[in-house]
Amino acid sequence: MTAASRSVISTSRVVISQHARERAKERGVTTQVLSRLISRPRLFIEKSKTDPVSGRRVLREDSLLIVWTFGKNNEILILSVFVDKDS
Amino acid sequence: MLADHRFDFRVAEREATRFRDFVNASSNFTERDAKTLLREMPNFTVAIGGLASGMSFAAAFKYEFRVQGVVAADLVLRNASRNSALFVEFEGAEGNDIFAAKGTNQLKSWARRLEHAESQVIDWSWAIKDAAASTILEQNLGMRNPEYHFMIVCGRDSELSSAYGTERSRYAHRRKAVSINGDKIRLYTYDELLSEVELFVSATRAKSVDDSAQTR
Repeated sequence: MTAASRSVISTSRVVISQHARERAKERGVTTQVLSRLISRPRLFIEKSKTDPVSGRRVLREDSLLIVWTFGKNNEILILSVFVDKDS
Repeated sequence: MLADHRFDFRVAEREATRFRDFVNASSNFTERDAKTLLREMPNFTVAIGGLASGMSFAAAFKYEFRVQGVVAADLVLRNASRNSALFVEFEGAEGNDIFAAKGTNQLKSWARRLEHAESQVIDWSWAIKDAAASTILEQNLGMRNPEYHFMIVCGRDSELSSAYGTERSRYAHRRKAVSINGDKIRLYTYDELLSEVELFVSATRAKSVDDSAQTR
């Protein structure tokens, strides 16, 4: 069993840090979009890619780049959200 | 005129490490020291564009950019393909940059350094509006009628820490509340600037790895 598949079993929630929430809003990401992301933990596990240098995980969704890591309680902790108009 | 620059991930990593070492070496440094270092780091510089909504990496930049000859921005970034320009004001991190030492019994006053920076941003916005009919700004910037974004980098995270979180809350509110022409003035501490640029570079590198895997 891979680390990712172990995580999908135990991860039940997505948490967005206050800092990431503020930055997302500043970049024009609506509360609705954030709420939709928070309600889909499996999406993060199944679709994220890993930056080979920093090891940070990145989900590309809805013209956004969402950088996240596992928190202390194995939750998905969103670190920041960037707008990616190309996707 | 702005100078074109093509972003390089590997060099950017080295530049980010250099900037991290600089920020961690001392809790205080001057605006001049920060700008001197940043001028030597073109990849870190153009990655700051990623912090403005939808701009991504800037394709060109210039330190000390004058608008109409009367006001100057510390840094201007351009991404013509996304029709975006980001004007950045750097302040120092010399202590009491965001909040002053004095205030009332309950609240510290806002620091003059931050208020001065915001006033400068307001003047840029005025000068840009005033130059609407001029081709000089357009020529210097290298594009016509871009979407303008504004950013201030000032102080350190440590200034926002207090027992009850009042300063952090007021800072967050200011960041949320202060806009020019409907666009927020982006407020960053040096710690936040470093962290966000690193996260943005990570995000785009993971994306480019994903893209190249899909085209293989």
